[in-house]
Amino acid sequence: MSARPTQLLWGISEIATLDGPQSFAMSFDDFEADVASADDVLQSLGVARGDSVLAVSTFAESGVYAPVFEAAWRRGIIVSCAEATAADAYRVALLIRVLPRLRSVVGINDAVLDGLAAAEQDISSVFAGEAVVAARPSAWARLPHAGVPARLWVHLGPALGVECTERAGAHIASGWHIDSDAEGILTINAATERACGVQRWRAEGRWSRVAQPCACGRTTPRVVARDANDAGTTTAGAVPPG
Amino acid sequence: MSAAGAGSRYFDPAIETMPRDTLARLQEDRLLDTVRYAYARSGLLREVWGEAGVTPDDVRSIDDFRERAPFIDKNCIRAYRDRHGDPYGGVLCVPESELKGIYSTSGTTGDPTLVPSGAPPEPDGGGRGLLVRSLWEIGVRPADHIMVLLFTFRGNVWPQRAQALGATPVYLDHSPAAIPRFIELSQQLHPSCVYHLSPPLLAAVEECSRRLGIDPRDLFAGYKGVMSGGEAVGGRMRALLDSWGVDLFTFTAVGDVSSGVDCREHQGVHVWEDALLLENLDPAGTDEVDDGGIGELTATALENRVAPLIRYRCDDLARVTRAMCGCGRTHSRISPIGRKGDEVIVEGRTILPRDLGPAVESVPETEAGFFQVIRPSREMSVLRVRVGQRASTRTAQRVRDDVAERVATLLGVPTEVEIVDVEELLKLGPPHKIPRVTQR
Repeated sequence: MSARPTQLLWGISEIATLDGPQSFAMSFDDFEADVASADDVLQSLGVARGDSVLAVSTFAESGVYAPVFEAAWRRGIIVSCAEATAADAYRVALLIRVLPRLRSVVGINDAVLDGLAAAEQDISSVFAGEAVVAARPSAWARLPHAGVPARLWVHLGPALGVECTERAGAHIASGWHIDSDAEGILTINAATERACGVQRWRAEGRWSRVAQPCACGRTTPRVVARDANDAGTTTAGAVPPG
Repeated sequence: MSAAGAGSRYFDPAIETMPRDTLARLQEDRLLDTVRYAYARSGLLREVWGEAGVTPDDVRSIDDFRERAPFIDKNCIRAYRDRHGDPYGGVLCVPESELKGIYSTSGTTGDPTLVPSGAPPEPDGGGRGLLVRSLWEIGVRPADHIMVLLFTFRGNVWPQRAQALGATPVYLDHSPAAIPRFIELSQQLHPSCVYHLSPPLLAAVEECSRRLGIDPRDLFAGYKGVMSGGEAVGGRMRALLDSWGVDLFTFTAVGDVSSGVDCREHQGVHVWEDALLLENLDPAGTDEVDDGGIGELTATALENRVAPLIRYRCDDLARVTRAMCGCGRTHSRISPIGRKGDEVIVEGRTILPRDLGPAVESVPETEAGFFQVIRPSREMSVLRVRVGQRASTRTAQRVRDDVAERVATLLGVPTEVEIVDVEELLKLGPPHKIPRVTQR
């Protein structure tokens, strides 16, 4: 029943870059490589068989999140989903309440926090459980003010990254090469051959690379959100830029 | 890929054109198995059947089932959920540890309910990709691109669907904001199909094409089909799509049990009866209505092993015909009418939201047809409607009076209209529809 010989690509999704949204094509081999990287992300979050994970994303981000879902399924982890929009914030809160053995909520963004605030939901209560919250940079900077410790969750173009338990910068998934400049602009390209070819993207936001090895032992590149650090709102602000 | 090859009209000809008596035998086997399976595992089913004094031993045929099996509905699932603290409403039939996903409904009519799911390559709950049959009928073939504009909360089975067809999915958000990208990528990739452009997105395509100076006839020239669901496309938009040369394919859910899509004959939505037992019952009773008559859809899942709904009254009114379709398929076709719970009675006249559509769409400022009926109770002396308006050179009061007069003339009942910005109305629902009825 497999139709792979005639199917050109696993799919085409969308990634956010400094230069606006870009199409992102993935082959089946690309997808498998990203599943392996996503598996490391799940391990880093401490999600294990029988746990559930709630992904807050948009459908256009399928190229980034589908490998996470596949890695979760292969590990026996239950996946649940909500939209990364203000309108769907109530669903995020609902799912956090009812999902069994919820170990992590990933992808929380500003819009969801705005939606919770507009609905007069207490953010610290919504995230009061034991689940590890991994938030995109702007939400990650806000959550500590609500008493919610969050790990940094980043999409650098197509490259996914998350802070480990050291909370000292987001480890970027393997398979991507990252360059930074003095202005804090990150440039990303694939470290190996992919369907997207030799394309390079500039990541949204300003970043600093962390040069020191991480105490967790991982050797993948790490970044901290420079804008958020400038605001003095993050724990990772103590990490000297590389 | 199709069991019959690229030249066939059918993806799975043996099933899609199965004689109805053979189909009935297949359904009976699956029904009896499902009833025993679910009764042994579903707390809700044991409770409801226990109250009715029925057990699976009392059901030895489809006829027995129709005569004896009690009904369930969404309220009953929510009540079980609240009474027992069971987030699945008593319908889960496998240990949580066997789940792959826990998704949720759109929440149009209340709290979203959880949709537990098994193995990820399980499109449409049946494991064989029921929607794939419809995509094939539309004309999607290996190496094609399919534009998929969707939301995440129902999970994403499109990688598996596309793989079954050998096509490449292109993922975009189900949002008016995604329409410029949709237009750009349609021009670049020449996809054969889009799933799905709901009425809010069709309105955005109209507005965006006009703003960008793009002729929609060129935009859709390469498309073999445009799929639309969530709610019915209004008459004005249908006429517009016709003028653009769009072949519109309507899909509709059958409760939370299954879904269907019309074929190229456009004579009703095909539901796949190898995966569900479909009944169309007197909305106020339990008798099956005649073929072609209006009834309430009632569905029983025949293949879902995770959370099968048994004799689920969907609250959806529809006409159903079992006559063979011009396409050669033998499965039932439904023509949705509206939600039973959305009916209002004004001065003795029964009105469904769709009855207002032509009047609302006839006013230039409200031609997009976005409105909701304000229904504090089922019976009212005045029909109250909230209508979304786009930019206008007329005052809101004049637009309001115009809409009210046209609705009152069309339906023959006193009508009060409240005008709001259309964007405010669109915020009230999930991305693909607005609640057509609201209490206030």
